[in-house]
Amino acid sequence: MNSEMEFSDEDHGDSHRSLLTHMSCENDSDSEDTCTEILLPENSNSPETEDFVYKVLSVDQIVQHQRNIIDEVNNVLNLPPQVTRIILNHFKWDKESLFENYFESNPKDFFQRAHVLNPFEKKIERESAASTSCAIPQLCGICFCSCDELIGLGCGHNFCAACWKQYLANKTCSEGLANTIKCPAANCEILVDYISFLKLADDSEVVERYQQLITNTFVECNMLMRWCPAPNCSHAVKAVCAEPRAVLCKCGHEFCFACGENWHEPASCSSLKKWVKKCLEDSETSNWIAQNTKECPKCNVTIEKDGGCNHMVCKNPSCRYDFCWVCLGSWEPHGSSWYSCNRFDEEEAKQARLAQQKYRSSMARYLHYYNRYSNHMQSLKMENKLYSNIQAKMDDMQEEMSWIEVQFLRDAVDVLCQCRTTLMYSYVFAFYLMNNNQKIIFEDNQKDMEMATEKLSECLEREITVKNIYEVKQKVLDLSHYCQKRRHVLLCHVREGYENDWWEFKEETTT
Amino acid sequence: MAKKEEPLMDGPKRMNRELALMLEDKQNLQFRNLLVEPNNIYKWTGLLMPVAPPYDKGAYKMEIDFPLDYPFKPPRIHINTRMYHLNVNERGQVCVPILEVEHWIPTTRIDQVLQVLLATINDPQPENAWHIEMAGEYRNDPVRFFKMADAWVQKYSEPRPTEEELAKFARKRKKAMTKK
Repeated sequence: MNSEMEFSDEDHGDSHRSLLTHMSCENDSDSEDTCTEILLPENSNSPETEDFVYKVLSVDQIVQHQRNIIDEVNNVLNLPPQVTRIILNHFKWDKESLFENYFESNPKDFFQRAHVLNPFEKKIERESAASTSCAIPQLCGICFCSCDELIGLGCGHNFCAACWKQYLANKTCSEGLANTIKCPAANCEILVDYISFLKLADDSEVVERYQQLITNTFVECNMLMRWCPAPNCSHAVKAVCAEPRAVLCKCGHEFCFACGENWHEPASCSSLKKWVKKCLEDSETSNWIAQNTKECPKCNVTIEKDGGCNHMVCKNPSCRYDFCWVCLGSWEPHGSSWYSCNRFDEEEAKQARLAQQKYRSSMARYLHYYNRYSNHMQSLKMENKLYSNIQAKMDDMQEEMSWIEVQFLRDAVDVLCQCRTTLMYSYVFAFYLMNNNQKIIFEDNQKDMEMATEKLSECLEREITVKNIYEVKQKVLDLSHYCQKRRHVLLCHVREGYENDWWEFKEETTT
Repeated sequence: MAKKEEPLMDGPKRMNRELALMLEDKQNLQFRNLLVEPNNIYKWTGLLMPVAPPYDKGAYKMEIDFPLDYPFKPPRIHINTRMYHLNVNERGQVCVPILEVEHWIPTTRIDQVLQVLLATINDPQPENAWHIEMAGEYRNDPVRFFKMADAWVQKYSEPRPTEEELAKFARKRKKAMTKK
């Protein structure tokens, strides 16, 4: 009976749709947003619901999956299972590759390359080995003791039971090897097979360690499997193809199947890899500059941000200036359609080039994107703390209202964190993007999403008390719904751009 | 695991067997004065007497340290007399692949290891060099290399013992072992 539990993105799509059905379709009455309301078609091809079939497997399920592959191959080849296992390891558990080689190569070469005895020739050797053992007692080649019975793998090299036990324990527990343990004899490439190991190791701890190593190797060299990177998680994900897709592990961690990083849409795996490397190399410069620009633009008092919201109010009693933490501009335009914080002004860059070196222009461009990427990352961390604050509020509210009535708060924080993550990676995507009309559309979407996210963040951090919960609830629901729509629009546009080759990416220039 | 900390039963037994075989061996003239440290089967010392110039003008103290789980782990060998040699580093470690954990197999015997080690000393291996510069010198300026090597032999190596001295050492060792 197949006990594997199958997850697909459709499950997440269901929860996504169920959340939407509780949302109001009304515009936020306080919003000055002049954008046209975008309705989601019920059959829309949302990135979240596009089918990517994968399974989250426990260790036992991984072992069973491994056995299933062995059985499948054996239905065709009809070999001893322990031989099939060695051959599958050799071909990195790629069945197609194995069958291809099996039917194209001559048997002698095929088995020799996999470092396993040809099972069709094994009987002859076994007979000759048996006849040898009937002769004079031999010396074990490892301990040099005379033994009545020496044991081997069938390759003609035999050793006493005690030496086999210590040899295998040393290879497994001390050196961390499992699938690549060879015969101890000089110049012999024959591998120790699974059944021989179980027989010769004769120690349950060693066998347990052996099984762990086998499972670990199986997942790591299998292109269609990946361990969950979360600390202390022992699950692995099995997919039908190795693509950059979001997979959600049972432990709650969501990651990219292709590269193992946190799910990073809309940035690609290669962009993210380059970005992370660049950030490491430039982190000192960036940190220095970032630290020296965060003061009130009006009165120059040093400002420390204590929450995720980017709307800042200077605490200096004689100032009280409202401004944006990221661009240090007045906050007033951020609530209007003139909001342009996320867009890098190419004209200003040209002006800078006239007055400065190309490097400074390059650094300015990088810092533009880095500061916003870093800021959203920081906001995301702050907003994770928001969970505990919200939880405390929900506990307080339990006394006066039912749990289901305050569940919307947690849902809203979930939406907020999801949007922060997407915004963070949207700046990685934009950094490597060349200018064209599609980038302008992308930045419009990014602007709209960022604006909506800041509103939701501000609302959750500042406005909620027990007294006004019923008044704020509708606002929170509306803002959450709108954020999700903005995120959906941005991601759909990016995905469409990939499909239609709209995106042109900059080649990295060495500075 | 407490089990791992205890010395394995078979290690000393095998070492004693190897020791007996090597003491009986009269053919290996390049490895002499084999001695086991008192009360410590895991440490052997000896004298290397290579035959290739310029190393053939001196003798070189060396020691073999056996791990507790020998022969499943390789021994460590140090040449304690300084040599100008591309395969020997400042600490006297010899770059011999079969002694590395990845290449070690428990059926390899010490006399086989010593054969490979002496072959390396007599015939330097640039592809396994500790010192890249010295390997380059060995290839491109052999006159200078051998001049330097000869100078180090004059300066650092032990004097070659005579056959009488070697025989005397062997008798003394045999007598000491008989007392045990």
